[in-house]
Amino acid sequence: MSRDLPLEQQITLIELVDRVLNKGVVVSGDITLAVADVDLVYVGLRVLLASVGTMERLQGQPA
Amino acid sequence: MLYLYAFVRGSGHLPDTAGIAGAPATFVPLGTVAAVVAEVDGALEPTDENVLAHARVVDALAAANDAVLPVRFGRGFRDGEDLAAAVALFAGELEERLEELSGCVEIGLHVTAPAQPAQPVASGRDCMRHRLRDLARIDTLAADIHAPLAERARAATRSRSVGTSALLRAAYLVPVADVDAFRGAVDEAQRRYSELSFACTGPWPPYSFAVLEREGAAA
Amino acid sequence: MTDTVDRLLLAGGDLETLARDLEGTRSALPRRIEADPENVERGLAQLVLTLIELLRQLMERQALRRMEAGNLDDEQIERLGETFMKLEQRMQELTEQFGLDQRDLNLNLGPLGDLL
Repeated sequence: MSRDLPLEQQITLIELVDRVLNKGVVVSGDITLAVADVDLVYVGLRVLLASVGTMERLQGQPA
Repeated sequence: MLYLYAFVRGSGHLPDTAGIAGAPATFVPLGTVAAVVAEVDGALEPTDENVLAHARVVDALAAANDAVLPVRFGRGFRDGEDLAAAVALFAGELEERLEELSGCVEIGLHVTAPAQPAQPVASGRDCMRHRLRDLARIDTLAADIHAPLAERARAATRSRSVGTSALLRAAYLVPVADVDAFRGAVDEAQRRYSELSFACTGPWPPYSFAVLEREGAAA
Repeated sequence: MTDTVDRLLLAGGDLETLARDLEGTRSALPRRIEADPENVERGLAQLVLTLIELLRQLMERQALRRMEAGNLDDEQIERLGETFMKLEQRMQELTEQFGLDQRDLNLNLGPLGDLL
């Protein structure tokens, strides 16, 4: 989505999202309601899982 | 669940704002501070829509209050009692933080250097020496840009991310009245280092300076 | 799309570079995972190559620090340098092979970045 926006807006939007998701107070004792703490490794694993599925499907296809 | 947006002073103002899923934000006074919360239904995805809704509430609070302590996306509590219990541990610190941030906004700076074409080198040793020189040059450049700006701000923070092409990613806590002058200083830096790319964003509510000591890893 | 006030106070130089650098930040942010299979393979290559690139930079920095501190002899410096050069070249080849460019391997680790 962001690639359709003019560059200036892309920059601002990303700066905003980074702040809301990565900065700001975290009061311990709270519950994480969002998956915002998913770290890079987890994201990577999910991509891997999805791609393994894709590869298996592709292997079934004719060359 | 109670979704938490931000903290303000107990005497603060809550503008009429719809947040995530259109749920209106409400005020929960907790001694000298107040939490700004809303009822949500359960798990939330960090979609653009939800993130923007969160930002909207925090923005509205920042516009209507001298001091706002933004909370990170996705924090909730089972109910008002849980919230009060958690805040009781931090009340003093929340109040201090609000005081430190009052009257200030955050200005972000992002500076990148143009990609250097790979230099042909004769030996492994030359390669290493060139790298060392490049790194030193980048470090010096970043410090030269950051230091005078940090001087002008009430507080400053720098991000040192490996694996990005950014020369400098920093945030500055600037009193509202000084924003124009600060912006002028960034402008000046951009003119001096014209081969670099500068993006100065803001004013933001002070997300990058909303840090509680006891939580451990700072943003 | 963003209904927040326009917050780009100042932008100079190559906006494309800036936006691309920040896009690295964006892709590192937890988001709804795109399940589109078309993009997954390229996305996977991008992730893997970015991680390798990250490790390479980390190791390079380590090596340079040790070199600076005078902890490496000439032979070690030479060997390390050559290895880094070869690695960089291989990375470039792989990157091109997957239709990516250097700027695609640009992941900001957010809070993790500060730890390094």
